Amino acid sequence: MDEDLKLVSEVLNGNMDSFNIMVNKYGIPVLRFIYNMVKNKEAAEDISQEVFITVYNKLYTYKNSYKFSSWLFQIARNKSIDYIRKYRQVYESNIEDILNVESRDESHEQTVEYRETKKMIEKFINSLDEYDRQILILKYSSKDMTFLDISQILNMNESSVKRRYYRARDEFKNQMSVRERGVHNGL
Amino acid sequence: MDCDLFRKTLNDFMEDNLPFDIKKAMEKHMEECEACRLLYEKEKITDEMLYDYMQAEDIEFTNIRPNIISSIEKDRYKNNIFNKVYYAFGEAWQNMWLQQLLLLF
Repeated sequence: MDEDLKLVSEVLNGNMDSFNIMVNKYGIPVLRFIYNMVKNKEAAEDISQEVFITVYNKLYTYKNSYKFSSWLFQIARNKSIDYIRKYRQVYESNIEDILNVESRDESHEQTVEYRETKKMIEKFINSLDEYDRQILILKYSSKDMTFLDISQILNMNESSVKRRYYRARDEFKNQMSVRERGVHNGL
Repeated sequence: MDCDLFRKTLNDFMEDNLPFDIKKAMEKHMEECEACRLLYEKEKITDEMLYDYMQAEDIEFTNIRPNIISSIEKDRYKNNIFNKVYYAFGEAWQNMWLQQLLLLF
């Protein structure tokens, strides 16, 4: 039996240790995904807690026709969207959330470059259409997320997910090339 | 393998979504063709940049597990007959009730 399905069945039989394992396994990927959606640390932590409480309370409604992780991320996505709608959040990192990157063992130039690259990626992600933005966030928030998983989470067909993903990625590569040319030309 | 086929297959190669022999042919082609190797490296850097960004490693998240565990009703799925009946038939019963209601209108 699939590891997640085993955990689900154990939790539904009253085993709290299995729920702890579930939270340990998916806590960080869900937090990361929600943080990338809402760009606020406290909000991401609160929403993630709500997600796992909902998962626990509604676990008996989960149907194993698709992956448990897709169901979990679908709940995380819906709760993030509710938050964004409620607060009309602009997805920019809160500067107070970010650790002092100067303390890393890197030169001043590397730190400046790191910040600029991050800013460039953030600007690019924010310029995307809402679905494209969510597709990229899902694809890169955890390494084993497949196009099929994303299509289930977003309730979209797999070929549309792929088409949108590759189009957004091509646009990102174009912007990177323009930036590189600018650096080479001393702009 | 030629450059044209390499370019067409590159997305699947990046997704590790190819049969073993095609994967090997792609790797062999990259050893021989610098332009295709550079193309692959550009894809790899793109993946790494986006992945690193989404990891949000400069954010120190608080451990959310204690709050979750203290907020849930731990006996919710305790193995008693009432819970078994409720979670096995509760939803089905609600759906049936809804169907009956809809039929009335």
